[in-house]
Amino acid sequence: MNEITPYEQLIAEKLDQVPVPDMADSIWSSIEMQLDAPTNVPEAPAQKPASILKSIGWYGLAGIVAVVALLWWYFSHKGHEPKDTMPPKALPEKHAPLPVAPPPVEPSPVAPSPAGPAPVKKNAIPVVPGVIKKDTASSHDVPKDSVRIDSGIRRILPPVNLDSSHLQKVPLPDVDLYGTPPPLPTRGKKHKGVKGITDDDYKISAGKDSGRKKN
Amino acid sequence: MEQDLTNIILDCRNGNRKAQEQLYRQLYGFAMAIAMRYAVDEHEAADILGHAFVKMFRSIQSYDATKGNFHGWLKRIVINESLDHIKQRSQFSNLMPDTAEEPYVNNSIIERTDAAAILELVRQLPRATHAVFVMYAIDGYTHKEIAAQLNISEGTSKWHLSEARKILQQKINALKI
Repeated sequence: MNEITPYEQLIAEKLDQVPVPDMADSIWSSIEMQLDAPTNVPEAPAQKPASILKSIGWYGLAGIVAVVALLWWYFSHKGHEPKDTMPPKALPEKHAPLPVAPPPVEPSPVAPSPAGPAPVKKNAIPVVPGVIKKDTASSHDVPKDSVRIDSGIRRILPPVNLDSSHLQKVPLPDVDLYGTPPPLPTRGKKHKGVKGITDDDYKISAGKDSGRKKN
Repeated sequence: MEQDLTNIILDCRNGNRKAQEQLYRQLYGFAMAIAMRYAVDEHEAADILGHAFVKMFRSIQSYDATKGNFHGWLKRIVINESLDHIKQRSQFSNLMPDTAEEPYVNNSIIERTDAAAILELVRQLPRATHAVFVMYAIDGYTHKEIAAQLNISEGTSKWHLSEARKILQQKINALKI
Protein backbone atom coordinates (compact mmCIF):
# COMPACT_ATOMS: atom_id res chain seq x y z
CA MET A 1 0.00 0.00 0.00
CA ASN A 2 2.77 2.41 0.91
CA GLU A 3 5.05 1.43 -1.94
CA ILE A 4 4.82 2.49 -5.53
CA THR A 5 4.04 -0.47 -7.68
CA PRO A 6 5.90 -1.18 -10.94
CA TYR A 7 2.90 -0.36 -13.07
CA GLU A 8 2.54 2.95 -11.27
CA GLN A 9 6.15 3.76 -12.12
CA LEU A 10 5.34 2.94 -15.72
CA ILE A 11 2.32 5.20 -15.58
CA ALA A 12 4.45 8.03 -14.20
CA GLU A 13 6.92 7.60 -17.03
CA LYS A 14 4.11 7.57 -19.55
CA LEU A 15 2.59 10.73 -18.14
CA ASP A 16 5.90 12.53 -18.53
CA GLN A 17 5.70 11.71 -22.22
CA VAL A 18 2.33 13.33 -22.64
CA PRO A 19 2.64 16.11 -25.23
CA VAL A 20 1.97 19.59 -23.94
CA PRO A 21 -0.75 21.54 -25.77
CA ASP A 22 0.38 24.65 -27.59
CA MET A 23 -1.48 27.18 -25.50
CA ALA A 24 1.48 29.25 -24.37
CA ASP A 25 0.41 32.48 -26.10
CA SER A 26 -3.19 32.44 -24.92
CA ILE A 27 -2.15 31.57 -21.38
CA TRP A 28 0.47 34.34 -21.39
CA SER A 29 -2.09 36.91 -22.46
CA SER A 30 -4.31 35.91 -19.55
CA ILE A 31 -1.32 36.08 -17.22
CA GLU A 32 -0.51 39.60 -18.44
CA MET A 33 -4.09 40.68 -17.85
CA GLN A 34 -4.00 39.30 -14.33
CA LEU A 35 -0.66 40.93 -13.65
CA ASP A 36 -1.91 44.28 -14.91
CA ALA A 37 -5.22 44.01 -13.07
CA PRO A 38 -3.86 44.41 -9.56
CA THR A 39 -2.22 47.73 -10.42
CA ASN A 40 -5.51 49.14 -11.61
CA VAL A 41 -8.09 47.44 -9.46
CA PRO A 42 -6.73 45.53 -6.52
CA GLU A 43 -8.81 42.71 -5.10
CA ALA A 44 -8.93 44.10 -1.60
CA PRO A 45 -10.35 47.46 -2.63
CA ALA A 46 -12.94 45.69 -4.71
CA GLN A 47 -14.31 44.16 -1.55
CA LYS A 48 -14.07 47.37 0.45
CA PRO A 49 -16.58 49.29 -1.62
CA ALA A 50 -19.22 46.73 -0.82
CA SER A 51 -18.53 46.97 2.88
CA ILE A 52 -18.35 50.76 2.65
CA LEU A 53 -21.63 50.89 0.83
CA LYS A 54 -23.14 48.66 3.46
CA SER A 55 -21.76 50.80 6.23
CA ILE A 56 -22.83 53.92 4.38
CA GLY A 57 -26.23 52.37 3.95
CA TRP A 58 -26.54 51.74 7.64
CA TYR A 59 -25.14 55.14 8.53
CA GLY A 60 -27.40 56.74 5.97
CA LEU A 61 -30.40 54.94 7.35
CA ALA A 62 -29.45 55.96 10.86
CA GLY A 63 -28.94 59.52 9.67
CA ILE A 64 -32.32 59.60 7.98
CA VAL A 65 -33.98 58.27 11.12
CA ALA A 66 -32.18 60.91 13.18
CA VAL A 67 -33.21 63.69 10.79
CA VAL A 68 -36.81 62.52 10.77
CA ALA A 69 -36.81 62.36 14.55
CA LEU A 70 -35.36 65.87 14.79
CA LEU A 71 -37.87 67.23 12.31
CA TRP A 72 -40.70 65.52 14.14
CA TRP A 73 -39.47 66.93 17.44
CA TYR A 74 -38.96 70.37 15.94
CA PHE A 75 -42.41 70.65 14.41
CA SER A 76 -44.11 69.06 17.37
CA HIS A 77 -42.27 71.48 19.64
CA LYS A 78 -43.01 74.32 17.31
CA GLY A 79 -46.63 73.30 17.30
CA HIS A 80 -46.73 73.63 21.08
CA GLU A 81 -45.07 77.02 21.06
CA PRO A 82 -47.88 78.78 19.33
CA LYS A 83 -50.24 77.41 21.95
CA ASP A 84 -47.95 78.81 24.60
CA THR A 85 -47.55 82.08 22.82
CA MET A 86 -51.24 82.53 22.25
CA PRO A 87 -52.03 83.22 25.87
CA PRO A 88 -49.56 86.08 26.03
CA LYS A 89 -51.27 87.63 23.04
CA ALA A 90 -54.60 87.32 24.72
CA LEU A 91 -53.27 88.65 27.96
CA PRO A 92 -52.15 91.98 26.63
CA GLU A 93 -55.52 92.54 25.12
CA LYS A 94 -57.09 91.76 28.42
CA HIS A 95 -54.62 93.96 30.20
CA ALA A 96 -55.08 96.71 27.71
CA PRO A 97 -58.56 97.43 28.78
CA LEU A 98 -57.58 97.14 32.41
CA PRO A 99 -55.08 99.94 32.23
CA VAL A 100 -57.69 102.07 30.67
CA ALA A 101 -59.94 101.72 33.67
CA PRO A 102 -57.33 102.36 36.33
CA PRO A 103 -55.96 105.54 34.86
CA PRO A 104 -58.99 107.54 35.61
CA VAL A 105 -59.00 106.26 39.17
CA GLU A 106 -55.32 106.53 40.02
CA PRO A 107 -54.51 109.68 38.16
CA SER A 108 -57.01 111.60 40.15
CA PRO A 109 -55.01 111.47 43.37
CA VAL A 110 -51.81 112.39 41.66
CA ALA A 111 -53.47 114.99 39.53
CA PRO A 112 -53.73 117.59 42.26
CA SER A 113 -50.09 118.58 42.11
CA PRO A 114 -50.10 119.75 38.49
CA ALA A 115 -52.59 122.31 37.32
CA GLY A 116 -55.25 122.08 34.62
CA PRO A 117 -55.82 119.27 32.17
CA ALA A 118 -52.16 118.78 31.60
CA PRO A 119 -51.52 117.49 35.11
CA VAL A 120 -53.97 114.70 34.65
CA LYS A 121 -52.11 113.61 31.57
CA LYS A 122 -48.83 113.81 33.40
CA ASN A 123 -50.20 111.73 36.24
CA ALA A 124 -51.41 109.17 33.76
CA ILE A 125 -47.92 108.72 32.48
CA PRO A 126 -46.55 106.97 35.54
CA VAL A 127 -49.51 104.64 35.51
CA VAL A 128 -49.03 103.83 31.88
CA PRO A 129 -45.48 102.63 32.39
CA GLY A 130 -46.67 100.04 34.83
CA VAL A 131 -49.11 98.70 32.34
CA ILE A 132 -46.68 98.89 29.50
CA LYS A 133 -44.10 96.98 31.42
CA LYS A 134 -46.48 94.09 31.46
CA ASP A 135 -46.98 94.45 27.76
CA THR A 136 -43.30 94.72 27.02
CA ALA A 137 -42.68 91.39 28.69
CA SER A 138 -42.92 89.78 25.29
CA SER A 139 -42.34 90.91 21.77
CA HIS A 140 -45.95 90.19 21.01
CA ASP A 141 -46.94 92.73 23.57
CA VAL A 142 -45.36 95.46 21.59
CA PRO A 143 -47.70 95.20 18.67
CA LYS A 144 -50.52 95.15 21.13
CA ASP A 145 -49.31 98.46 22.36
CA SER A 146 -50.72 99.79 19.17
CA VAL A 147 -53.95 99.49 21.04
CA ARG A 148 -52.70 102.38 23.03
CA ILE A 149 -54.09 104.50 20.30
CA ASP A 150 -57.50 103.31 21.26
CA SER A 151 -56.82 103.51 24.95
CA GLY A 152 -57.23 106.70 26.79
CA ILE A 153 -53.75 106.55 28.18
CA ARG A 154 -52.12 106.50 24.81
CA ARG A 155 -54.18 109.31 23.66
CA ILE A 156 -52.84 111.17 26.58
CA LEU A 157 -49.28 110.29 25.70
CA PRO A 158 -48.84 112.60 22.75
CA PRO A 159 -49.71 115.63 24.78
CA VAL A 160 -47.27 114.46 27.41
CA ASN A 161 -44.51 114.88 24.90
CA LEU A 162 -45.41 118.51 24.85
CA ASP A 163 -44.58 118.73 28.53
CA SER A 164 -41.00 117.77 28.12
CA SER A 165 -40.15 119.17 31.53
CA HIS A 166 -42.23 116.55 33.30
CA LEU A 167 -40.96 113.78 31.12
CA GLN A 168 -37.44 114.66 32.03
CA LYS A 169 -38.37 114.27 35.67
CA VAL A 170 -39.35 110.69 34.99
CA PRO A 171 -36.66 109.60 32.58
CA LEU A 172 -36.75 105.83 32.71
CA PRO A 173 -40.36 105.03 32.01
CA ASP A 174 -40.91 107.72 29.45
CA VAL A 175 -37.94 107.04 27.29
CA ASP A 176 -38.26 103.27 27.21
CA LEU A 177 -41.94 103.15 26.76
CA TYR A 178 -42.53 105.78 24.18
CA GLY A 179 -39.33 105.35 22.29
CA THR A 180 -39.77 101.69 21.32
CA PRO A 181 -43.47 100.98 20.87
CA PRO A 182 -44.70 103.69 18.52
CA PRO A 183 -43.29 102.43 15.21
CA LEU A 184 -44.47 98.80 15.31
CA PRO A 185 -47.70 98.91 17.23
CA THR A 186 -49.38 101.79 15.54
CA ARG A 187 -49.25 100.15 12.16
CA GLY A 188 -50.43 96.75 13.28
CA LYS A 189 -53.42 97.63 15.36
CA LYS A 190 -54.76 100.67 13.64
CA HIS A 191 -57.44 98.44 12.25
CA LYS A 192 -58.77 97.91 15.74
CA GLY A 193 -59.79 101.48 15.92
CA VAL A 194 -63.18 102.53 14.71
CA LYS A 195 -63.07 104.46 11.50
CA GLY A 196 -64.56 107.89 11.63
CA ILE A 197 -64.18 108.23 15.38
CA THR A 198 -61.47 110.53 16.64
CA ASP A 199 -59.93 110.65 20.07
CA ASP A 200 -62.14 113.53 21.05
CA ASP A 201 -65.24 111.64 20.04
CA TYR A 202 -64.11 108.72 22.09
CA LYS A 203 -63.73 110.86 25.16
CA ILE A 204 -67.08 112.36 24.70
CA SER A 205 -68.62 109.02 23.90
CA ALA A 206 -69.06 108.19 27.56
CA GLY A 207 -71.30 111.11 27.96
CA LYS A 208 -73.04 110.41 24.73
CA ASP A 209 -73.67 106.84 25.75
CA SER A 210 -75.06 107.87 29.04
CA GLY A 211 -77.26 110.37 27.29
CA ARG A 212 -78.49 107.69 24.92
CA LYS A 213 -79.31 105.44 27.78
CA LYS A 214 -81.22 108.22 29.30
CA ASN A 215 -83.02 108.80 26.07
CA MET B 1 21.61 28.07 -18.76
CA GLU B 2 21.25 28.13 -14.98
CA GLN B 3 22.98 31.52 -14.93
CA ASP B 4 20.51 32.80 -17.51
CA LEU B 5 17.62 31.60 -15.38
CA THR B 6 19.07 33.36 -12.34
CA ASN B 7 19.38 36.63 -14.26
CA ILE B 8 15.85 36.32 -15.59
CA ILE B 9 14.57 35.73 -12.08
CA LEU B 10 16.40 38.86 -10.91
CA ASP B 11 14.78 40.87 -13.69
CA CYS B 12 11.40 39.38 -12.80
CA ARG B 13 11.86 40.58 -9.23
CA ASN B 14 12.23 44.09 -10.63
CA GLY B 15 8.92 43.73 -12.42
CA ASN B 16 10.42 43.48 -15.89
CA ARG B 17 7.56 42.26 -18.07
CA LYS B 18 9.88 40.99 -20.80
CA ALA B 19 11.78 38.92 -18.27
CA GLN B 20 8.52 37.54 -16.92
CA GLU B 21 7.45 36.44 -20.37
CA GLN B 22 10.86 34.94 -21.00
CA LEU B 23 10.71 32.97 -17.75
CA TYR B 24 7.18 31.83 -18.51
CA ARG B 25 8.04 30.54 -21.96
CA GLN B 26 11.14 28.82 -20.63
CA LEU B 27 9.16 26.95 -17.95
CA TYR B 28 5.90 26.48 -19.84
CA GLY B 29 6.43 22.84 -20.85
CA PHE B 30 7.60 21.82 -17.40
CA ALA B 31 4.72 23.53 -15.60
CA MET B 32 2.08 22.54 -18.14
CA ALA B 33 2.99 18.86 -17.81
CA ILE B 34 2.33 19.09 -14.06
CA ALA B 35 -0.96 20.90 -14.51
CA MET B 36 -2.06 18.38 -17.13
CA ARG B 37 -1.72 15.51 -14.63
CA TYR B 38 -4.13 17.09 -12.17
CA ALA B 39 -6.55 18.68 -14.59
CA VAL B 40 -9.37 16.84 -16.30
CA ASP B 41 -8.72 18.58 -19.62
CA GLU B 42 -6.45 21.06 -21.37
CA HIS B 43 -8.60 24.07 -20.62
CA GLU B 44 -8.54 23.42 -16.91
CA ALA B 45 -4.80 22.86 -17.12
CA ALA B 46 -4.39 26.21 -18.86
CA ASP B 47 -6.49 27.89 -16.20
CA ILE B 48 -4.42 26.30 -13.44
CA LEU B 49 -1.19 27.27 -15.17
CA GLY B 50 -2.22 30.89 -15.64
CA HIS B 51 -3.13 31.33 -11.98
CA ALA B 52 0.00 29.49 -10.89
CA PHE B 53 2.29 31.78 -12.89
CA VAL B 54 0.54 34.88 -11.65
CA LYS B 55 1.06 33.71 -8.07
CA MET B 56 4.65 32.86 -8.88
CA PHE B 57 5.39 36.33 -10.30
CA ARG B 58 3.68 38.05 -7.38
CA SER B 59 5.61 36.04 -4.81
CA ILE B 60 8.88 35.73 -6.65
CA GLN B 61 10.47 38.05 -4.07
CA SER B 62 10.04 35.27 -1.51
CA TYR B 63 11.90 32.68 -3.59
CA ASP B 64 15.05 31.59 -1.76
CA ALA B 65 17.56 29.82 -4.00
CA THR B 66 19.34 28.35 -0.98
CA LYS B 67 16.24 26.30 -0.07
CA GLY B 68 15.86 24.59 -3.42
CA ASN B 69 15.95 25.07 -7.14
CA PHE B 70 13.46 27.21 -8.99
CA HIS B 71 11.83 24.26 -10.74
CA GLY B 72 10.96 22.61 -7.45
CA TRP B 73 9.54 25.88 -6.14
CA LEU B 74 7.43 26.36 -9.27
CA LYS B 75 6.28 22.73 -9.14
CA ARG B 76 4.91 23.21 -5.63
CA ILE B 77 3.10 26.34 -6.75
CA VAL B 78 1.50 24.54 -9.71
CA ILE B 79 0.49 21.53 -7.60
CA ASN B 80 -0.96 23.75 -4.87
CA GLU B 81 -2.95 25.68 -7.46
CA SER B 82 -4.15 22.38 -8.95
CA LEU B 83 -5.26 21.13 -5.55
CA ASP B 84 -7.07 24.41 -4.91
CA HIS B 85 -8.98 23.88 -8.14
CA ILE B 86 -9.81 20.30 -7.19
CA LYS B 87 -10.90 21.22 -3.68
CA GLN B 88 -13.25 23.84 -5.09
CA ARG B 89 -14.89 21.29 -7.35
CA SER B 90 -14.95 18.13 -5.24
CA GLN B 91 -15.44 17.03 -1.68
CA PHE B 92 -12.93 14.98 0.24
CA SER B 93 -14.86 12.89 2.73
CA ASN B 94 -13.03 10.99 5.40
CA LEU B 95 -13.01 7.33 4.51
CA MET B 96 -11.19 4.37 5.97
CA PRO B 97 -9.37 1.97 3.63
CA ASP B 98 -10.63 -1.55 3.09
CA THR B 99 -8.32 -4.52 3.32
CA ALA B 100 -5.74 -3.56 0.79
CA GLU B 101 -5.17 -6.12 -1.90
CA GLU B 102 -2.24 -5.76 -4.22
CA PRO B 103 -3.79 -5.28 -7.64
CA TYR B 104 -2.42 -7.24 -10.51
CA VAL B 105 -1.74 -5.21 -13.63
CA ASN B 106 -0.06 -6.44 -16.73
CA ASN B 107 2.82 -4.00 -17.16
CA SER B 108 3.20 -4.90 -20.79
CA ILE B 109 -0.20 -3.42 -21.43
CA ILE B 110 0.90 -0.11 -19.96
CA GLU B 111 4.13 -0.13 -21.91
CA ARG B 112 2.26 -0.64 -25.12
CA THR B 113 -0.36 1.94 -24.37
CA ASP B 114 -0.08 5.51 -25.62
CA ALA B 115 0.78 8.12 -22.97
CA ALA B 116 -2.31 10.17 -23.81
CA ALA B 117 -4.49 7.08 -23.35
CA ILE B 118 -2.91 6.40 -19.97
CA LEU B 119 -3.51 10.00 -18.96
CA GLU B 120 -7.11 9.67 -20.06
CA LEU B 121 -7.50 6.59 -17.85
CA VAL B 122 -6.14 8.50 -14.87
CA ARG B 123 -8.48 11.41 -15.54
CA GLN B 124 -11.43 9.03 -15.46
CA LEU B 125 -10.80 8.41 -11.77
CA PRO B 126 -13.02 10.22 -9.28
CA ARG B 127 -11.65 13.70 -8.68
CA ALA B 128 -10.35 13.17 -5.16
CA THR B 129 -9.02 9.72 -5.98
CA HIS B 130 -7.37 11.13 -9.07
CA ALA B 131 -5.59 13.81 -7.03
CA VAL B 132 -4.39 11.39 -4.38
CA PHE B 133 -3.15 8.90 -6.97
CA VAL B 134 -1.18 11.53 -8.92
CA MET B 135 0.28 13.02 -5.77
CA TYR B 136 1.36 9.66 -4.42
CA ALA B 137 2.29 7.64 -7.52
CA ILE B 138 3.56 10.39 -9.83
CA ASP B 139 4.78 13.29 -7.71
CA GLY B 140 6.08 11.25 -4.79
CA TYR B 141 4.07 12.69 -1.91
CA THR B 142 3.64 10.56 1.20
CA HIS B 143 0.22 9.87 2.68
CA LYS B 144 1.05 12.24 5.52
CA GLU B 145 1.85 15.04 3.10
CA ILE B 146 -1.25 14.32 1.05
CA ALA B 147 -3.39 14.33 4.17
CA ALA B 148 -1.96 17.70 5.16
CA GLN B 149 -2.40 19.17 1.69
CA LEU B 150 -5.98 18.03 1.25
CA ASN B 151 -7.05 18.38 4.88
CA ILE B 152 -7.93 14.71 5.14
CA SER B 153 -6.70 11.84 7.28
CA GLU B 154 -3.91 9.56 6.21
CA GLY B 155 -6.42 6.71 6.20
CA THR B 156 -8.56 8.57 3.71
CA SER B 157 -5.51 9.19 1.55
CA LYS B 158 -4.74 5.47 1.62
CA TRP B 159 -8.34 4.64 0.78
CA HIS B 160 -8.23 6.90 -2.28
CA LEU B 161 -4.98 5.30 -3.42
CA SER B 162 -6.49 1.85 -3.01
CA GLU B 163 -9.54 2.90 -4.99
CA ALA B 164 -7.36 4.34 -7.73
CA ARG B 165 -5.41 1.14 -8.04
CA LYS B 166 -8.55 -0.98 -8.25
CA ILE B 167 -10.12 1.18 -10.90
CA LEU B 168 -6.94 1.47 -12.95
CA GLN B 169 -6.40 -2.29 -12.75
CA GLN B 170 -9.79 -2.89 -14.21
CA LYS B 171 -9.42 -0.26 -16.89
CA ILE B 172 -5.90 -1.25 -17.91
CA ASN B 173 -6.73 -4.93 -18.02
CA ALA B 174 -9.76 -4.00 -20.08
CA LEU B 175 -7.59 -2.41 -22.74
CA LYS B 176 -6.45 -5.79 -24.02
CA ILE B 177 -4.07 -4.33 -26.48
